[in-house]
Amino acid sequence: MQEGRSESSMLEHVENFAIAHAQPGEAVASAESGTFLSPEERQLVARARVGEHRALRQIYSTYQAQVRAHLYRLLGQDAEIDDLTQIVFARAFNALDKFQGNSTLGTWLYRITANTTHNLLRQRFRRERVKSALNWFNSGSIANVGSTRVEARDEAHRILQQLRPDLREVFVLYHYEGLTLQEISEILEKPISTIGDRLTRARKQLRDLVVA
Amino acid sequence: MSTRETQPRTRYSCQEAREDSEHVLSDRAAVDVRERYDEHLRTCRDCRRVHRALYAVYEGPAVPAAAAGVREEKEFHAILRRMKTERAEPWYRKWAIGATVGGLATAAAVLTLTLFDIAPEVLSLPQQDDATPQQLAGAFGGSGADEQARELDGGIEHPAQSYGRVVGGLALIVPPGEQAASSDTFPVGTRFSVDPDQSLQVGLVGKIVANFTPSSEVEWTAASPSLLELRIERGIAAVRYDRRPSDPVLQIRTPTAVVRVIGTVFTVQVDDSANTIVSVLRGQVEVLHPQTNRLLAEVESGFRYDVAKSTFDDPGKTEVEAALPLSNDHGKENPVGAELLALADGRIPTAWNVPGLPEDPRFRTLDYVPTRASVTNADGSTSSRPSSRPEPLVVVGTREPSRHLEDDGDELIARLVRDAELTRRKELRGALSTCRELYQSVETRYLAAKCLSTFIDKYGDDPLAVEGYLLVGILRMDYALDYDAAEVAFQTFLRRAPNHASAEVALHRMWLASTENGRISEALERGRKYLSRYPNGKFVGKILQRFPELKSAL
Repeated sequence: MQEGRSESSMLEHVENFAIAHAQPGEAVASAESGTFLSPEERQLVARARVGEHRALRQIYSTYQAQVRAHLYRLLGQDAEIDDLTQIVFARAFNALDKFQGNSTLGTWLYRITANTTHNLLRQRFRRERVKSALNWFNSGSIANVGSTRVEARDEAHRILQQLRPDLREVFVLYHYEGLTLQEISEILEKPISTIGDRLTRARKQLRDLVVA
Repeated sequence: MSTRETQPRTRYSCQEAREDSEHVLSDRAAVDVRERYDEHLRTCRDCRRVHRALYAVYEGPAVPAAAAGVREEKEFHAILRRMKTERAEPWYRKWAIGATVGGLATAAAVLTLTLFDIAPEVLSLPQQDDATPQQLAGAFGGSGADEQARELDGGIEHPAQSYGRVVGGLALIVPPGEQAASSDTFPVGTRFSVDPDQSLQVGLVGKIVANFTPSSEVEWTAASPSLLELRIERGIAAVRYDRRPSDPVLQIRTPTAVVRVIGTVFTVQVDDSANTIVSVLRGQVEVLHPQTNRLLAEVESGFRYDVAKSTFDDPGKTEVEAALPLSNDHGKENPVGAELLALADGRIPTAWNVPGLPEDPRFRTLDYVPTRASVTNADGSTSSRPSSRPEPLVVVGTREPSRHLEDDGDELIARLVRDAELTRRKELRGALSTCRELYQSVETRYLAAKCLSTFIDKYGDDPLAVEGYLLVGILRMDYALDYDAAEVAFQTFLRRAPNHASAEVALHRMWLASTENGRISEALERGRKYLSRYPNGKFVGKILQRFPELKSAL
């Protein structure tokens, strides 16, 4: 029963994304002609490529809130967020030559953010798992004492941090950043079916974490 | 396990509720499912808890505010620095053999030089690192590469912008080379020795407005696309710099500190013992060691930092008084009418952080600023000065005794008052004389804009009032650096009185507004227009000083 419902929800999504896949020729053509970017954005990117500070500054001002918020949602309250924001933009500015205009600048920056945080998320997740296992070993099964005092949003953050990194990435991009599965599949460079599957598993795992 | 207080008609347990929770939370559940889910939640405490937790998860964590202001500025510059470290190293640099080849080539070159005795000056290269501020400033007349670099950096994009203008006051002004100043416009390298009785107000590169208090000794040492620098030997410099992202950073160098500014309102004081005191009213500045560039302190708004003692304190009346002519904070987001044209009204803007000053705008005046007993001016006198002086505006341009230079506004307001007197319009005359009193003193001149705007609002339709627009435009441009509002005023004036005797002044000011605002092509066009209309006009020299290429338009 439960699996059946989850599958149907995933299929519902995949149907939506199949529409995006229905005319691949068109998508390719639009990408080649650079229709993801407006003429102003194309001009902005061209100026930024030659290192014009004003253009770089404009890109930074437009997207810094997006990048910072995304990092915050992925990593939670973290002293390294400012540092990571700088790394993301520094890498993006250095890679502007390689930016083909096959996606919007925002989507491209999500991809750079995902690549930048990929290893960090995994390292932290492993570290947290070991830590919580040790805590459990030391203090028995006394857990969640006083959780009622914790703010609901902090609790949400804590639960999200327990989600596996690959599932967390998809969940955050889909539910918080409002991207489509198609866009997420481009950002993470995974097939759309994998993304759909990860989203379903993320939801199930979150539900299990909340119930536990 | 959950507790069930009542039994629903059809079976809808916690299991079903939790399976439906995601659909309900994302508004995708059918109406009947939603009803059963809600009904279940009313009776099951555990499911309510799960629902709340899931709701929080789906809603997402509250994201902190994005970087803004100084923090944003710092981060962007950190990114630019990091770009260099993040940049992938070219493959050839990774090869040790490359270094060896380079070394061998250098050795070969040295041997060749020794053998053929090539004159060393032929191969000497400029030492970029040792460039002085003057050299940096002088780079404007440089090569095409310099032009390109300037374009990339933004900010000051044309040599015509790298000038300053005297807005009001009395001082000994010595341009580089100690030549006599022929106009109120001065280049980089100019020194100011402010008169002991009056302050001096200047605009720099169309972006900065500064007020030097009596007896101050100041030098403008650099103006490049990335750096503007002032050196203060003595006295107080109050500066307002509403910096745009691509504008240069401003540095104020004193004998004991370097104050680096990103964009703010602040004062720097050098007292008789050469100690530096920095007060910030809006924004934030960094105070650096003059030799090592080590950060000594970050001074935020509402603080006064004494470099010698390394102590923080509250800004006092002296600092606020010095900065008050620079007040120009918008009271409204979309000002209209008089608000658009004149905002400085003698009150301390709410954006300025002055500890001890009431928030109520009625009490945000100099009288309510807490006084510090020990505060003295550079010349040892106390900070309080008469609010109004019946002295005419003069600008000293040479080491000779003071002489009067032309002043657009002074002549205009005198004529306006004269015309009003001729028409025997008491009311109009009364309103104008108040504005005139304010205008005549350098200390209160910035307040005349507000007065004139009120005058225009009331008598704007009167043919006599047309010159008021021109005056307001001049004041908005000089004190607020608000070129858009100034142009609105000039255009209104020219539209209403195209053949007025002061149309020449208006055209010149339109050209100046474009130049100082960095709209160079527009400035060239306006310059040509002025030169074709007034080939023997009194502002021809000023236009050709900044745009020598316009000589052909004569």
